[in-house]
Amino acid sequence: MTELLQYVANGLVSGGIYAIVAVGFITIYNVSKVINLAQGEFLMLGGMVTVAMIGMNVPYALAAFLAILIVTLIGVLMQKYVIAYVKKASPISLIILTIGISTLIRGLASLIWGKDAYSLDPITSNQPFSLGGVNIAQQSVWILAAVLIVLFLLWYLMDKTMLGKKINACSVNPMAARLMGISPAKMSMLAFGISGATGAIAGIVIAPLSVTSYDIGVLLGIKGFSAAILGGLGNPLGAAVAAFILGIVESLGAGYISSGMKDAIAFLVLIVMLLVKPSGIFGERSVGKGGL
Amino acid sequence: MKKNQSRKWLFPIALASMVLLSACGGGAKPAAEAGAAGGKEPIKLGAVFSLTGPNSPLGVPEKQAVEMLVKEINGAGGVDGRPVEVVFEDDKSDNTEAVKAVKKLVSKEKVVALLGSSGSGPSLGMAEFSQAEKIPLISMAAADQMTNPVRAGIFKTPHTDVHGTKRIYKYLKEKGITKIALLNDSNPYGSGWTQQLQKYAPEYGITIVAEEKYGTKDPSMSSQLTKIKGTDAQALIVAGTNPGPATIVKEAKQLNLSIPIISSHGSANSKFLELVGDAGEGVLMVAGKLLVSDQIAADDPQAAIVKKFVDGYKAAYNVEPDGFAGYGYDGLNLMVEGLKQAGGDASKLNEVLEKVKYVGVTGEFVFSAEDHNGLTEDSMIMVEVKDGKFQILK
Repeated sequence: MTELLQYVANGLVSGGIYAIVAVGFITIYNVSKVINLAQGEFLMLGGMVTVAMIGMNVPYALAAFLAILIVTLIGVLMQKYVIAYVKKASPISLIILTIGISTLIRGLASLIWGKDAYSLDPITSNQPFSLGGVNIAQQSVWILAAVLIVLFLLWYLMDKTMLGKKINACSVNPMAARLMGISPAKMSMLAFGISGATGAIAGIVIAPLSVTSYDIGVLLGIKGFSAAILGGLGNPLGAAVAAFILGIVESLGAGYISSGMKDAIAFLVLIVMLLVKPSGIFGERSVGKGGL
Repeated sequence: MKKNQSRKWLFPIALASMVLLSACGGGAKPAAEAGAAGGKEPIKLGAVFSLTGPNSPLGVPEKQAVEMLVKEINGAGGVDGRPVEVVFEDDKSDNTEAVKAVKKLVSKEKVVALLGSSGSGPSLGMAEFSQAEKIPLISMAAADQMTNPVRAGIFKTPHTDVHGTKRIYKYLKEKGITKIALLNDSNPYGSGWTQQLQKYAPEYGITIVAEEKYGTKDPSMSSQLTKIKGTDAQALIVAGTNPGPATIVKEAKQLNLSIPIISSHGSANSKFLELVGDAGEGVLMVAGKLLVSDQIAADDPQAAIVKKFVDGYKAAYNVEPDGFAGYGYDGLNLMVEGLKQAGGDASKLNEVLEKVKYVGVTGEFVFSAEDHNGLTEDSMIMVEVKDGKFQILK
């Protein structure tokens, strides 16, 4: 029983990471119908910039803050100078464009920091604590807290503020939104910024648990994207739930079936679920659909 | 407003990245001039190393060690009165490039013997060609199949997973440990280890109670560790290259896994220590003696050459040499030893090298017709991480 709970606890932590990535995908998708495949790279940059700053003797908290700021800015610049620049491109070409950007970011990162992995100190102590026989790292609590805070803030922003209403308006009908004096381009830029920030936060909180390197974004990007699809593209709550399911399935699969097949099991579950319910667990938000 | 903001930020970022960039760019200048040893015609050797690409952390120190040794050999009068000249080529960590490079070295540069390459893939490609051309090759590749089965004229310097496996099992036997769990990388390096660990376990009376895998880039291995924790394993063996083993050690601590962790020589380097931090205390590792060059006993047959190599390397490059530098150093030394015994006649190298005995920095090489690696498990040692440093286990 303790073992089962330990697997679930492990799964919740990986699920939390996938959730932040998935929400980043959805934030951009909802506004611009673009799937930003550089989302994983935002996450990598968050971790790497923090490590680099700490290497320059910047205090931890400031380094993390600056890293989030820098990655947010990169998200905004990416929208302004690349995505918005190619007017009239179809979402598909824009998606391909984001693959190009992700490769570029990864290449630059490997030039700047090399191909080695780096470690980051945990936010609080390295000592795990035990909860009914289940061992939990303090950093795992930070990860889950970060996920919940990010999800809450995003929900608040989207549902309770005027800005969120504007973003939603662009998502529903960009033309009507423009007629109401809302700039879809600006909202899209904002979405890229938000994705950059959430990605960076994820990158910073997960780095202490394992390591960070120039290419960690690839795998996490795929996992987060899978969660976004599984939850029903466009639905942040669905994505978060799906991400946790994916994490737990992975962990249980590795524990009870075979660790070599860990990813295969997770993706198999994903395929089966999508065959049964192609629109994802929670269904796509069907308003104003374009894109894929 | 947005524009101003981005301008303000762009400058410090650009500046920061330039500083970082310049810190990374080392000097990899083409070198390899023949020394001043007499006016006689030099003996021309070719060396293919991975100077760029993913294997460059291996290839660059290998080249540096060889360059250093060439100067030393020629300073001491060369081989048989003739200076040694090494022509370097970069295989870009790519199999096809390695074969291209070796063809160029043989047909254009007319080299008489070859060193390289750094990775197993490129080395295996080179071996095919050099065997067909009957040019002797000493490789720095780890893979056992380089010299197993034995091929005429193909030799290698690094330890294999067979040596590592036997050395670890010997240690476990001493400690009376009979039940172990494996958690190895699913890449060729880790799978090679898994095979050898399974193969030799019965010989040492060891039972493998759990055999788990992980992907090199997996962010978490905690589920595998949870499973291992539920078994009655008395020790955990981890074989992989950085950063996997470091993540495992960290997570094992978070899960309160109390059995000893023994890692392969794939992570026996300072990067591992940096990545694990204080979670690494007490981790055991199998490694070459070079890892703890300052702790080698004075009566160890390798003590003298290791000291000479480490001092020379530090003086030349201002860094501690790693195992890879040692592989390159031993490779050229073995080749030169063979040339000396052949009286400078490269055509005899294939046969002569099979009789070479040489004490190197990696281990004591005893080449024979059956063994083209020439090392035993006794050239490896067990070390423990203590106070953030590797300590030899007595």
